[in-house]
Amino acid sequence: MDKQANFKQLFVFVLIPLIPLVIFWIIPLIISVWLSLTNWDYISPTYEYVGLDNYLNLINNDAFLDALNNTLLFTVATVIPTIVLGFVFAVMLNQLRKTKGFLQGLMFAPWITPMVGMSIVWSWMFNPSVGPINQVLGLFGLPEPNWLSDSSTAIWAVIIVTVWKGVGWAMLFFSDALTKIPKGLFEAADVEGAGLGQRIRMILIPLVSPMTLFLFIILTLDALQAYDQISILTQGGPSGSTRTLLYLYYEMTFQQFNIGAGTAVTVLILIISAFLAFLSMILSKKFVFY
Amino acid sequence: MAIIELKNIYKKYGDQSDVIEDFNLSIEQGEFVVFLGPSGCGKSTILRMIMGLESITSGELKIKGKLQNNIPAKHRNIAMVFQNYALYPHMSVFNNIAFGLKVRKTPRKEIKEKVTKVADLLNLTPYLKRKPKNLSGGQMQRVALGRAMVRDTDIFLMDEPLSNLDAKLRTTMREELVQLHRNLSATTIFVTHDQMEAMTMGDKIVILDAGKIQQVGSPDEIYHQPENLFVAEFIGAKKMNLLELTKDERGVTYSNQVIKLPVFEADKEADILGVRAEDCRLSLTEGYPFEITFIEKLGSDQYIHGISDGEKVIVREKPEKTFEVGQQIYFTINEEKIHWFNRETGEKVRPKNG
Amino acid sequence: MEKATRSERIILFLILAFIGVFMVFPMIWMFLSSLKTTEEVLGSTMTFLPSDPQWSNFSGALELAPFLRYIWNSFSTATVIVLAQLFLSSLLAYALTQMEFRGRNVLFMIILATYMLPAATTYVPSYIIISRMGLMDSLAGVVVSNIVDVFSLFLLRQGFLKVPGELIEAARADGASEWRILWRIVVPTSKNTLINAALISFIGHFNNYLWPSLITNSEENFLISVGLNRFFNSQGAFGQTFPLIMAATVISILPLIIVYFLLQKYFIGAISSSEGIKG
Ligand SMILES: Nc1ncnc2c1ncn2[C@@H]1O[C@H](COP(=O)(O)OP(=O)(O)OP(=O)(O)O)[C@@H](O)[C@H]1O
Ligand SMILES: [Mg+2]
Repeated sequence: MDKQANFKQLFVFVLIPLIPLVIFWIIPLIISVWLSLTNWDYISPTYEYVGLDNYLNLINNDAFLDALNNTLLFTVATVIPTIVLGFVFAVMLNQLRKTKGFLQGLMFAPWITPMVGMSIVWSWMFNPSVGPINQVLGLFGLPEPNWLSDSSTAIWAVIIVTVWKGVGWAMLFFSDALTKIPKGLFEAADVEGAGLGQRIRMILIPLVSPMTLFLFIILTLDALQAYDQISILTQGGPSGSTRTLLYLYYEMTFQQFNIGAGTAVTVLILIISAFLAFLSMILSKKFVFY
Repeated sequence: MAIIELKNIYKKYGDQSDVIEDFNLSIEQGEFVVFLGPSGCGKSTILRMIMGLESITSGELKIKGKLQNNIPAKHRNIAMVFQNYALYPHMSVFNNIAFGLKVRKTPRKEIKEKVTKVADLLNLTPYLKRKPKNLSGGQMQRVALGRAMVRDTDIFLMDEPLSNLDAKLRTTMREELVQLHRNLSATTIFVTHDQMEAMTMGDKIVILDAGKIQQVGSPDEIYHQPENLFVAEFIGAKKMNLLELTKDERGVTYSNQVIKLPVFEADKEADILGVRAEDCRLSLTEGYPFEITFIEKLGSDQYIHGISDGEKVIVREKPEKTFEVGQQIYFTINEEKIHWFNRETGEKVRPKNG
Repeated sequence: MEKATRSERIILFLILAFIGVFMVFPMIWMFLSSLKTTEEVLGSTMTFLPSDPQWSNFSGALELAPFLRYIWNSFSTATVIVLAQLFLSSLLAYALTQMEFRGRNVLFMIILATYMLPAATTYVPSYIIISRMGLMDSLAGVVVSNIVDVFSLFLLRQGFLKVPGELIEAARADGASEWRILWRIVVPTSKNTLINAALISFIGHFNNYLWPSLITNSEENFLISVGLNRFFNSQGAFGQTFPLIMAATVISILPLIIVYFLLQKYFIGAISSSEGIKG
């Protein structure tokens, strides 16, 4: 008996599990790239090869550039606060003893709830006249924005919901990373005269950096694919202010049946993701120290 | 003047019973003090209290005459070498050593000079760019030492710094540390549970058990004048032979032979006779009965283990003599080297004017 | 880090408890709103607690749309998907960790790469494939198209790597087949990893929205998120039926909240064990 697998074993253990992956991932990926080079509209039986036209059109299309812009803003403004808050909460929670688990439970709860259902709830919380958010802001005499119906605030409302849902997830990852840091390192730094700020900056942050990188990638991929909350809270509006690349893809493909242009958008999202993946490999070389 | 003074120190974790009880010690400038005791006796706890990593439940800790109880660790200006090194995994050897200086905003040039000097002293120069994961145990050990040495301080605390090294490296490091201490003449507290380490390194040994000091003294004093049964049994390559004495109408006896007792101080009584293996001899004709159970040959000596009147006794003999397991012979005691103890108090009982 | 003193811990607890309450506030507010009357909700003065709990809102919502059916659809498809995934992922993870064959590492890299890619890229072609298979607008279609799950494969691979090699070698020496080793030795020793992977995947598929909404049209095939959103839209975004919508949302979230409180420690464990899967 040796570890070298024979054909029958490979068939059972490798080929069969790969069938769904090939049918629903690899083949569709290839077809998508092909479709993005055509002008298919889903209804007509025929279509033509149009080369890079779809891509060139996109680059000259204001809606696309706006969506790219929105995607960038949405990604940065969800990923960074999620990581920073998740880290801060984890550090604070790490000091507690008996109550830690309970509080972690509260903070993580949003992650398990369905985005669709909770977005419906949030859409009412953001309601300018009867929603609790503006009522509370009003109590303190703060400005009461129109949130979802104002193109300057709508994206921030979507961002708030996204961060709210993801921060507990990041917190749990960081909590886990923190418990794995040997306690002696902080004592050693203490003995050497490092203050709290120095210990956080010079020991804690570098030591959780592999986890930060991991979360950064996962959260960025999630942000690039955000759909549910946008679809319910704003449907890309008002006046396109929350239309991200993915939402644009959805509109082009499943509302306007402009399959060629729509798939071109996803191929671009794919390229952005692949670029990020590549970047993360390079960064992880720099960060991994043990 | 004492540089470190501990007065009536108590330590309690939560609502457990005291881990350290009434600890009193004063340490002179430049001394090399070794804390020796079995695992869990509280050695690390005392060290960590001196360092400021653990709060002091009650009592006074003074360093250079100043009360330290409420001074945070980073302001005590003491250097510490941790039991498990606690090297920063994300920093190179250079940065590990330089950390304490960087934190204190030392000028770059000065940092470089100091680190280079220390690295040179510890033979770490070829490894300055490496990360800790790429170092051997002994190298990590030296980095941890370097990190303490580079600091501008005259007090070093070391918590079992050699415990993770192999036997050979441990011996070398021992010598190096002693040498280093001579050169720097900094006050050092060294924790260990290895008595060889304690005996070869310490100017002064503090023996601890169950949170209490058992004896403080030089290696010679500790070995030759144990204050109590714990020290007598704990110290030495072989534990001291302890013979239980009985009293009858003839006086005090062991194995049915009368033992001549000295007159003790303050009317104290002794009921245990202690004697080291090297202060006993085997004899074919006279002495106390001895049945050989086991022979331990060490090359330069041999230790003969046996049973005498129900007690385990060990005798050191020259290697040339031959004995056999099962042999029924006798052993004798060098009467000048007897230690007397009281079973109930566990304390040594001193003869009057001797 | 530095140990906080007792009073510092109390302050920290208060701050964190406030944040924690903020995190669950939408859930609390949803629940309270579901018990209010329309007038209470739309009234200009803010009321926090319902003055007279309207439990009838729940039966009202259930009359307007078959929420229990949706929940059942979500539950049953998610269950089947998770079981199928665990089965297939176990096979592949075993091959990737315990068998030797040419191209093993390349295969792993390819699978790793697909995890990075956005699912949306596959939607149009998968849509066509599903309709060619005749599975459009069916729960079978939802199940079949969701069986791939790279994340659970990573989790299992990570778990299987921790199974001591001697255990497997001993079994091989005893003449056990690879199939038997997988199901009798590797899977039972990695039980926790499997539970973790199952939970994470179950939540994702129970809550899934976009893709199922694309391939289902008839009410009887809606998953809970799809059905809830249709209900939300059909009631008008701003209306008299707000408490009913909240009641419907409560109904749709309740199953997961219950699962969460029962199995909380496994969720937290799931996070710990997925750590280490890096880019
Ligand atoms: N944080 C703590 N909480 C409660 N008890 C503790 C704590 N730290 C140590 N102890 C207890 O205090 C006693 C002394 O511990 P300490 O670490 O000082 O022993 P030690 O002599 O250094 O032992 P070793 O040689 O094994 O390092 C032990 O009984 C230990 O269980
Ligand atoms: Mg210790």
